[in-house]
Amino acid sequence: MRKSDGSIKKKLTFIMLYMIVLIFFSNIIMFGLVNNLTRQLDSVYSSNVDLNELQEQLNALQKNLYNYLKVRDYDSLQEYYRIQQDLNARLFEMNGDVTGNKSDILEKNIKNMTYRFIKKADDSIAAKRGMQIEDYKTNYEEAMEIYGYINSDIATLNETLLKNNAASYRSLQSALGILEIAVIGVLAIIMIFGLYVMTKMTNDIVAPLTLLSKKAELVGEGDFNQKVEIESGDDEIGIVTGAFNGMVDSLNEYMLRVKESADKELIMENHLKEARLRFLQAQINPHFLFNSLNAGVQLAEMENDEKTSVFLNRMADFFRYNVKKTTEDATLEEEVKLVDDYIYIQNVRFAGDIVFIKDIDESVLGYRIPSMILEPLVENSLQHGIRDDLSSGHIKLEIRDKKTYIYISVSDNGKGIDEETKKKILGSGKIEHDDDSTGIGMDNVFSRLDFYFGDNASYNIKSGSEGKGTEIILKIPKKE
Amino acid sequence: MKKKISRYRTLIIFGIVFTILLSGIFYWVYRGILKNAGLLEGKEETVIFDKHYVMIVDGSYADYWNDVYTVASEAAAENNAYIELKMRDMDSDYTMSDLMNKSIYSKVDGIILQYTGESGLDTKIDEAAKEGIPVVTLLNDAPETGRISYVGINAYSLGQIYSDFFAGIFTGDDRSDNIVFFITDSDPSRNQQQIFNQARAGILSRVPAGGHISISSVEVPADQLFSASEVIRSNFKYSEKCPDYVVCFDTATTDIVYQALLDYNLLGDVKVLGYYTSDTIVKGIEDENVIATLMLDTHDMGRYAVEALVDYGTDGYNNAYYTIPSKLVKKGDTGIAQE
Repeated sequence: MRKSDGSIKKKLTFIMLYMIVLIFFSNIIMFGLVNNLTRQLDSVYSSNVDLNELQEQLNALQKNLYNYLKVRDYDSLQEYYRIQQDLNARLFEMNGDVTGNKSDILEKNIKNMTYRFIKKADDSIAAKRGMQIEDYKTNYEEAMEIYGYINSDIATLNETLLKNNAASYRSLQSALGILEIAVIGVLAIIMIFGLYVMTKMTNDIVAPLTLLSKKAELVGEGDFNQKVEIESGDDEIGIVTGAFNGMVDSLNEYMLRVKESADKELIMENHLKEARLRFLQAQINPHFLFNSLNAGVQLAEMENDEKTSVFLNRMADFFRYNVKKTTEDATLEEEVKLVDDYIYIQNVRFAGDIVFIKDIDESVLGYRIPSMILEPLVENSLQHGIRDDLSSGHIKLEIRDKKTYIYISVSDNGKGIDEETKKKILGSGKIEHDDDSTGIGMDNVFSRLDFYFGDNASYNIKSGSEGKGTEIILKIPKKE
Repeated sequence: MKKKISRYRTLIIFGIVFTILLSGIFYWVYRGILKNAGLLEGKEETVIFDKHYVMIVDGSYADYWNDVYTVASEAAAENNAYIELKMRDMDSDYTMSDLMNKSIYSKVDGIILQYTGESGLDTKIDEAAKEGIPVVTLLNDAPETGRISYVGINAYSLGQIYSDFFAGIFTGDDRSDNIVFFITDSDPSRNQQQIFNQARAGILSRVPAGGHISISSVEVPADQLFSASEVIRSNFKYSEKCPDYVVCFDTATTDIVYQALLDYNLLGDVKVLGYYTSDTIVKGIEDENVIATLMLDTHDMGRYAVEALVDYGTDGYNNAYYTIPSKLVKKGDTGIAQE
């Protein structure tokens, strides 16, 4: 995962190298110049030194010449030749050109005069060896005359050079002082420039980090809409920036998913509720429908009159409601009408023997309850309460406005139910249904009420004992 | 990203340019320092000449010879030659012959010599000739030596110039004037003596009838330290014997005369005819105590001397005699102010 190209390490190395190279080369140049100047300083008086050495050689040559001529001393002669050899070598190196420089001309003159001196000295030695006394004296005198001229010119040249060299030395000395200041100045300029460059470059590295830390703080405070736009390339900062942006993106995505998941869960729960409702509604026995219809047909066949048509009409209404309202809730009024239709149909069926009493507060008829609630209760009273004794039995539907809730009571004076059955019904235990009923049992009614109203609805079954009838009481909230 | 890369690149390029620029400035400063110390000029401007000539002159004509030397140097440089000036100092032990010797032993290619008539100088000219070194004499001739040429004044015509000058002054019949010529020339050929003789004869022949003009010469020892001044000053000690006009044959004599007149409070009483030019002479001309000064043409003197050597070197022969023009310059004339 580590990237070396454009990394902070590389950038920092670059900065360091940049500074080092800059200072190194500047130092090399300055050191070279100062060194050169120092060497110049050292060599200023070298010409004087050379000239003094020449003078010494000349003196030695003259001394040995004199010694030889005086005492014919062969050691002196040997020494003479040795010095002459050295002197010739030195003369060879001396200037022989005619330049416009007075010192050069003097040097050239000294060189030529020294050659002449050596020649005369040699002639003198040769004459001495040849025992030509007059000749060696003449030559020696001439040599000494030249020797005098050479010494004079050497002194003049020495003086001239000394003057020039002293001036040069002074200039160089003061130049060294200037150079020293210049070196400090140049180094200071380089340092300032270097600092500027370093600050610039370091800022390039640090600025994105500062920005990143500020953004991270904001993210920490819960603001996930933070993106860092930094052109830092593929270095560590670039990687961290990318990772930061990725992290923020992931956080955003995660938050969205959590939210969506919560919404879905809610919807799912609702769906589940609805499904369970539909499932319960779907438990209504279709046989009832067929039996009723058969009854209608029979009636039509027997009497072929208006009553049949009314019956069929009510039957149709009942059937329509049954089909239509299985998927949704209904108003109390609609429910009451369904009960009416049911009683009518049952009255037709049982030759009008069913006594059905309604005591209803009209004001609550507009409130909504789950469909198919009242009819199963009335049906239950009919089927299990008074069916066996229709002549004396009655069914009573009571709906009261209790301000905070609606009080619904379905009661009969039939045979009632035993405690065990009552418990079963209230405990949502399954109850066997007759094929003759609409198929919706008490447990179904209560379950749907629970689903629809949650804990806000309550219900109860009151039953005395055998022959004392049953009363089912519902207390439901007002829902519009 | 690209922007950043280009910034770094700019920084690097700027760094390099900055370093080079700084080095350049530093090197420039350094060269300036070396130049100030005189360590660059010599090495850079060295010119090698083919020939090495020497100009040997007497220091008593210093101003004049320096001017001649300047012209001669230019002429020599045009012919790829360098002239070394050897001027005999009054306070030096070296004689003109010594300077000749040094030049011969130094193996120079030619000698331009102010011939002073110093004893032994003729021999040295011959020695040089024997060594193959051509010698050109200046101002005074040494016709009996091995010199190849002479560049100087014509004694006859210069005498004529002086006689013409004095003839212009002496117009009254009853004049009684005393003229003294200070002669520094100890040469047997007596060039200055010849000039004096010519001038004397010329003046006397043109003096109006009734005039009493006395013309004499005083020999000034040029090669002895301080004695010239003593000899000159002795002529002005007694005002009754003071000359009315003094004629000088060199610049140093003119300067000594002027100072003596100033010391003895004789300025205005004694009129001076100077030789060439110096600060004193220019001042004297301005206040008319120096009524005129002899101007020798330095240009021709320098050029002819070099021409003679060059011709001899290239063709093997040359003009044996070059005459340079001369004239007496008075106040108001051009060419008197020193450069």
